[in-house]
Amino acid sequence: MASTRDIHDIMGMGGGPVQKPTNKKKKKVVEAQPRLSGISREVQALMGDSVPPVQIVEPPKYKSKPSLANKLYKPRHWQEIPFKPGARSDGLSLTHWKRALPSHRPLQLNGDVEMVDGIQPSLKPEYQFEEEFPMDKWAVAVRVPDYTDEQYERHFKADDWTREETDYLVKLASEYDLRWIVIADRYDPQEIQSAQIGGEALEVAKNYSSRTMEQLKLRYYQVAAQDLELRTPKASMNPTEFALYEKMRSFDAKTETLRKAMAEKLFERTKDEAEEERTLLEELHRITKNEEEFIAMRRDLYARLEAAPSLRRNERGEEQNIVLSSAGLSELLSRLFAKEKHLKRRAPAPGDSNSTAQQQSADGRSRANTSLSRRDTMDTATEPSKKGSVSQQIVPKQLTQAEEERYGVSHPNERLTSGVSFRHEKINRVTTAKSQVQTQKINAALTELEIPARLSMPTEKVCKEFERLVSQIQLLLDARRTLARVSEEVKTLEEMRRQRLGLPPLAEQNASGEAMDVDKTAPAPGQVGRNSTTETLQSGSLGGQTVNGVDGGPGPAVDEDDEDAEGEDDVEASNLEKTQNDEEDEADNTGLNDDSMAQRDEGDEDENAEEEDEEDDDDDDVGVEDEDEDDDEGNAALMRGVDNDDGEDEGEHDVDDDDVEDEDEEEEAVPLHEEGDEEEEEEQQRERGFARHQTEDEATDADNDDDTQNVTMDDVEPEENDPDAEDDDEDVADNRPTSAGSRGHKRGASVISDASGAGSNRSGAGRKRRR
Amino acid sequence: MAALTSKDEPRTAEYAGDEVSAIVLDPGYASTRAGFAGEDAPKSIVPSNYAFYQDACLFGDHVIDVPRDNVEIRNPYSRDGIVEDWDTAEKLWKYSFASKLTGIRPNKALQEWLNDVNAVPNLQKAMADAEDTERALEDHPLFMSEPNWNPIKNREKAIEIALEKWAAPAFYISKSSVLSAFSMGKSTALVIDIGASQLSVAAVHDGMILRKSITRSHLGGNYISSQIRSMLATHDPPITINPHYMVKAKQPVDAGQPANAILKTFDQFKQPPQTSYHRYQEEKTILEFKEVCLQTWASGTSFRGQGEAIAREQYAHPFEFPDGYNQTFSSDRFKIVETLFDAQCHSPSPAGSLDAQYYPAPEQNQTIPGLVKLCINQCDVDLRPMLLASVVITGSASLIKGLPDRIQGELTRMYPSTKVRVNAAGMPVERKFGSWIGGSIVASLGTFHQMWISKKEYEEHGASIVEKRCK
Ligand SMILES: Nc1ncnc2c1ncn2[C@@H]1O[C@H](COP(=O)(O)OP(=O)(O)O)[C@@H](O)[C@H]1O
Ligand SMILES: [Mg+2]
Repeated sequence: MASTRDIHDIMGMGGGPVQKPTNKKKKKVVEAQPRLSGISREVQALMGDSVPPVQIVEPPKYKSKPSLANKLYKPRHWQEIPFKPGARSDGLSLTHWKRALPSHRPLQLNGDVEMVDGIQPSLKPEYQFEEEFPMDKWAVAVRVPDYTDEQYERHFKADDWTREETDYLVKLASEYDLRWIVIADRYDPQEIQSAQIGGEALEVAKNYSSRTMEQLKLRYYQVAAQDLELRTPKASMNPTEFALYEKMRSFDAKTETLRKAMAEKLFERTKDEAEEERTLLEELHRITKNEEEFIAMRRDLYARLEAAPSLRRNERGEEQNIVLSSAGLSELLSRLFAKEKHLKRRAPAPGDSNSTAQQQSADGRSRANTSLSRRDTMDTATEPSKKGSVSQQIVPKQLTQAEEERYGVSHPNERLTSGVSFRHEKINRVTTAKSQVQTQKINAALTELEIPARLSMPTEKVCKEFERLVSQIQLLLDARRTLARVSEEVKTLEEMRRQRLGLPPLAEQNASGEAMDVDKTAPAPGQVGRNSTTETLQSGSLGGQTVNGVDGGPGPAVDEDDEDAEGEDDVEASNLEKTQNDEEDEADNTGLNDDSMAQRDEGDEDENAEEEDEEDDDDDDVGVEDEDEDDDEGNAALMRGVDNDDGEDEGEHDVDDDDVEDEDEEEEAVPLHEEGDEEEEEEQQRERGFARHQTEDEATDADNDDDTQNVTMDDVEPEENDPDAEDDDEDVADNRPTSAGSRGHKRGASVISDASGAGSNRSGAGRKRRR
Repeated sequence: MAALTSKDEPRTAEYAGDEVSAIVLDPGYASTRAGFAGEDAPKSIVPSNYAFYQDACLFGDHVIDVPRDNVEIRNPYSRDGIVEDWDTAEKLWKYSFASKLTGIRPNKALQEWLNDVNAVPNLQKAMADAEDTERALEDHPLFMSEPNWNPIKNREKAIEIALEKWAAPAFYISKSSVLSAFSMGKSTALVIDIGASQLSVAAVHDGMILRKSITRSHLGGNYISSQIRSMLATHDPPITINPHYMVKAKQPVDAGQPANAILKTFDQFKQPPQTSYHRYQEEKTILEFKEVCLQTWASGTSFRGQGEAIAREQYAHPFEFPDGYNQTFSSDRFKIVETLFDAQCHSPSPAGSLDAQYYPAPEQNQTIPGLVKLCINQCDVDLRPMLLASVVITGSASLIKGLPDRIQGELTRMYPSTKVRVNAAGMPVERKFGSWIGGSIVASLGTFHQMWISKKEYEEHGASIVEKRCK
């Protein structure tokens, strides 16, 4: 530095301002040099002064080696030292290398390297080592029961285990820390023997049996539980002890063995089965994943399904717009059909009964066809998509009989409804869709049998059985009714005989001995004479009304067959008869045949029609037949057409079926208008109905595979059925125990007659035809 | 005995080993492995075959390879893999650790006391020590492995040698399948060990072998060798192996052409090396063939019939013998391995030969799938899925190409109802020394100290303690 300044001085360039640049220059050089470090000196020399603008070589960033001379660190001391491992009682001494703890003593002088390995013995430090790790804390052993000879005799004895076996088992349990799989593996009856021989006596070497793991466990748990109880009485056990105790006590070797057997089966599944399980599990996984969603959807669906009927009732005007389910949709469709037909039917003259009847029947059939075909298309349209969505990747597989049973696959003969339906709904229909009174009766029977009306587990089998049961109940009710009627008939005939013979009548009667008179008055004795006890009930109840009709039934049946008599009463009787028949048919159709889509739809339609009628009827029951005759008839006919129903006269039916309460009043009203001018029409109806019946019966037979017994009976014996179909409620009532002779029963009994009324309808028509 | 609580945070010592410089010894039919516990691989690997030359036993790879006058190669083990010749086995084992690990202890009497009388501490003791120059393991506990089917007598003999002759402070012996399972980090496993003399399958539960589940057959590495021999013998033209020691010079030849080599003559010896020596040298070539050529037919198509034809066309592989003869092998190299799965692929050895006697045609239940089935059926139902979920494959002979995959496929097909998972170490070293590595892990654990059978215990209870302690 000084030299440059000297040179400057010498050259006379001195002065402050000049000094600066030189300083700068110098600085530059000084700055550049460290940058270029890393390049070998020769290369640097080649570059000369021209310092490259960019740094070529990164200057090394590592620190220089620590110098030993600096004595900044001290090697840690390692030493091989002997130690006695814990958890050993034999004083085994092993050696291992240990590192000395960092010394707390101040470092020695900064002088030479401190030699730690004994070169300077005077300075040798006393090393400290970490304490031996208490490995013994891992040396744990299970506690197994122990017992003295006396204790064993008293508490631990078992029939199928000897003391030696038990000892051996307990020994194994402690040896293998209750690892049962290992214990069962090592349990060797041979070893028990050898232990014994090694012991005191070489008695007859017993042949100990080998044991299964379950047997071993069972025995051990017995012993251990007993031991635990002896140690701590049950009362003073703490919860964990007690839980353990309970667990050991309740060990069930049988179940365990069974479980193992099942597990073995599971383990030996074939590839197919395993695959199937895998897919099922995947499916399950998918379902559980979407469960929330599904639940919400289902709730929504339920809400809609339930909302539909109520909406219909409340807002009649808008009902057609509110179509929420497929059922609603088809209902709407058929109702529109009905409306249309109804309008068409109005056009021809009402008097032309024959042609109308024919047309109707034709209509009915064609409609049945259309509805059928519609359903078919729906089915065919929905089925493939359904299949696709449910089992897209699953290849259809031919199932064996057993598999079908297992998966609940059925090939129902009856037509399936489109869409989803619940089995319990179907079952409800079996019991409820009959007339309400019939329903009550069936329900009463079910209650007696202690069977809930709504099945809690409606599996297919259960449903079938339930259906069978219900039909049996119906059969029973029929039989009871028939019995009652026959005995009533016997009574009547006896009465007649009495009259003929001029014996004093048992009850009040008309003087005349004519058959027609008998016929005409038949109801009267029934009312007054026979039922003197139940008179009040009769007069005030539905039972009474029905009785009227039914009572009239046997009369005309007998009389007509015998004498072919005619009369107003006859008409009245048959009219009423017919009423019941209609009701019953209706009930049959709605209640029993609606497994199929068409029928359910039609059933709904019926209900609709009934509702309409009902409303009309509300004001004036008497007027129903007069005023609404045409409408009702028309509707009913249409419906029957669809139904393949052989019933008639919706109006009356509705009154009977739906307005059970009203019927009480009606009872009085009906006889009044019976003599009215609708007699002609009644006849027409009957004839029409019969014609329809004849033609449509075939359709019914073809379509309704699962007609219940009643209907089938009717179909088979249309004419001869007459007496069977008639009914005598009073007798039914009488036959009942008196305690049961309540109004409810009465009503129930009266409705029983409905069950087989259809036959009389036909016979009535037959009668007319004969006439 | 302190109670365990979860609150106590474990200290490092519990995780890490606590090495007490134990020696781990894994004797096998093919080789004897020895090393310090805690290390990754055995430091000392000695062939179990030894040369018997002029009434002396010579051990060690290069020593026994030298052709000598009337030299014989022997093996102290029976074909079951169990020690037959205890004297030699003892020498062999001692050689395996003393030659490289511990060193032969100096005889103090000769080296120190002879020169300095004052150094002799006690004449009695000095005399005893002077005699006992064999206290090779005075400072090292010995951890041994044994075949699963080792009889009790052999275990007792082993502890006797270790504690009395070698003066080891402590001893432990464990089943090799258990150790193999440990080496793969499993305490519950189904271990398939394909060793030299035996193919064994055993279930290990919670670190203990299930005795009833131990199954084995002769379909080990030696059987495969015999299959290769018979394959070569039935080859067209028949192939004879001229091992390296016989070849003086050779010229390359085209594939399939007769070898153009000059063979050595052993005229300098009164008697040439015995056949066992020649066989041992052949075995080296066969091992090379195993490593290079053998391959497992992948499951999927069955090998017999269909696969054989495919293999013949597509999977030819060349192999050159020491004398220069070279040939491609196609379906045969699959068929030999296929015998491990399908007993019908066995090709019989020439009638009357030792091979035919030692390695008869296997039954189907002696194959790998057959043994696994036997083994699994002996286990509790609850245990089976666990076992199949951790199948461990070990043993050098399992190094054949594609073997673990094939076993995986085979077992998956056999047990479709549970998950089968085959674990085979990827590194050949780990597969070869599986049981040694397991022993190395166990013996270096701090918690294992309580398991050692100490010399004192042995003196108290006698050799039978090995049966009680080493369960
Ligand atoms: N890479 C390899 N491929 C096939 N077999 C082999 C391979 N390496 C060794 N072997 C065979 O494995 C056998 C030795 O297996 P090993 O597990 O060491 O047996 P052991 O445990 O009985 O000593 C020998 O028969 C040898 O031929
Ligand atoms: Mg082995």
